[in-house]
Amino acid sequence: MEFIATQLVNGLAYGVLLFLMSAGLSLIFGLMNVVNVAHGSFFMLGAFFALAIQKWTGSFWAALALSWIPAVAVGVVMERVFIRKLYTRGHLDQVLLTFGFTFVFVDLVRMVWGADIRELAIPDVLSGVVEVGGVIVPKYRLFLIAFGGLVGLLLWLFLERSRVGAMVRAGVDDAFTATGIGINVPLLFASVFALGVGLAAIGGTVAGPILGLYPGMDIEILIPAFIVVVIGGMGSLRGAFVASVFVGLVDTFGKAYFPDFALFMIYLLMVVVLLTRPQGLFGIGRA
Amino acid sequence: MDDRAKRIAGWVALIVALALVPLTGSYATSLASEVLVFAIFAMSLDLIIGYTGLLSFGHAAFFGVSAYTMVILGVHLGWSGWIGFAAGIAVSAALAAAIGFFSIRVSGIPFLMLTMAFAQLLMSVSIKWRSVTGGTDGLSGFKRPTLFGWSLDDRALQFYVIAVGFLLVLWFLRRLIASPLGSIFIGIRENEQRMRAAGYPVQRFKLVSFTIAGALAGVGGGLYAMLNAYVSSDILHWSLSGDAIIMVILGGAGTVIGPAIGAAMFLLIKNVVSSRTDYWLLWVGVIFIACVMFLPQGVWGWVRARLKARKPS
Repeated sequence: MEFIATQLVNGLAYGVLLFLMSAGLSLIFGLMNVVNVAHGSFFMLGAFFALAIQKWTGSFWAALALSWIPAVAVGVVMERVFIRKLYTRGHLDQVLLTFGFTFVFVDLVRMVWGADIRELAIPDVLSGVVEVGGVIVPKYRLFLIAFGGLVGLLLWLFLERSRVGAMVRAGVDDAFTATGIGINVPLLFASVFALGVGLAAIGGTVAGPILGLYPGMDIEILIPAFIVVVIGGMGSLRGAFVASVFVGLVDTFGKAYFPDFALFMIYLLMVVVLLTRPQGLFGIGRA
Repeated sequence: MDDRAKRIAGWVALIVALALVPLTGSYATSLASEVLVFAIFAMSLDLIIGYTGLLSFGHAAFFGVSAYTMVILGVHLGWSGWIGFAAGIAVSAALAAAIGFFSIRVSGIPFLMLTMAFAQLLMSVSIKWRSVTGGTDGLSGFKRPTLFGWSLDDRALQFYVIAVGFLLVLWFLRRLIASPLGSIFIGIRENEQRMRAAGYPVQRFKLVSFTIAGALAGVGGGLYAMLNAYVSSDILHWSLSGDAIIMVILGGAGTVIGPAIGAAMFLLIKNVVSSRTDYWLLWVGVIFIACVMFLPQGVWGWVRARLKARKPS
């Protein structure tokens, strides 16, 4: 029982990281029809910027509050200068372009921070464990789950309740008509891209204390995040949320119960979902 | 010169150039062998990407499985490399037919993810099935076969065998693309719906393309095993599939010889830049980005367009 509870907490915490990645991936795809393979790079950049800020200020909270800013700056430049030129070309070219960027970012990180595994220190308040109903859980993981729930809620409120959110939804449904009714779609594109990049960078920051920081962490999170997006359905925030939790749990329990087949589990899950529902669980069937 | 004479001149020049390679010394010969092996691999991938319009991110599966088959049969059962070579190609083709059967049900990103997932599943098998594959250590102790009594341990002979394989694959792909079947593949790339409306069973032809590409990747994998006499799970990793995509795009997707040129460029960059700096992938990335942005038809595609434009018609 206790073992199951521990795995549940771990699985949910991993699910939060996947959600912070896949929410942006899915929104960017839904709105702009852009597949951003470099999304994992922003997860990595966010984590390393957080490391630098923590070193400079000595505070995890300052790192969490600020690390997304330089990452978003890099992302906006990438979108304005490079990706925008390829809007009229197909998915294939965007995949290839952003794939090229993954090489550039990973080597830049290696140049600046070296290839060793670094760690982001947990603030004192969140280190240690608490006992919840007879089960001992690390405080940081509980914080992560609460944080993920909060970000998910804010994102949902933003999309469903705010005026800008309504514009984003209009853009996802039909960008052409949205332009026709006076929505500044290029600006909206840039904003949503920045939002997605920011979420990935924050994801990297909060992942820092549990996953560690190293060049290559970008791909390590990118592949499961893509699996989440494909399972949840490209362009669906709800799908990204449900599939993140699902994949996080399957992966964690898989590793705990069938360590020999840990790598298999989520690939297998994706294969099964795609073969029965090619558009994903909540997909809009456009991919 | 008419077209036929030009074509023959091109083949003769290529064969003469390849024949002279072993005179350049053993380092250059090994590098040239590696280039040709990956050229075959990249050309086979281009059949799916450049000619059928599907971005596969799991092509390493077919390259790797063929190499594994050959080395496993040789090391564990003592089979000759030649029989292993044929078996490897057959296994690759069968595997491509099976993976393709499932993957072509989806397209776009889900296709990319599915092909990658299948390749990664195979890699997991190669890591876990230690008794047969050697796990992460890889499998060594493979004895290269002999040809007319000469052992393929000889660098020059290795190169010639690989070069013959390369020329055969090149010839086969050129014939295939020029054939009615090749036109159907290109039709699917250009406009899948129209092909469907015209009555072509599009799915079946995608599967045919995927299977042929898998078999040809198997040729590359078998030659890789002859060259290195060793396999490890690295050759099933998605990053090898990614390298092959880079080769295809650099050289020119949708051209037969382009990916071979891309393979040569990639391996030259790798060898030249990595001897000066640890960050050679950065340069690969920069060159690749520049190519996607400004030279989407690839180096060979660009050259070919120039040649066509110059010719008064």
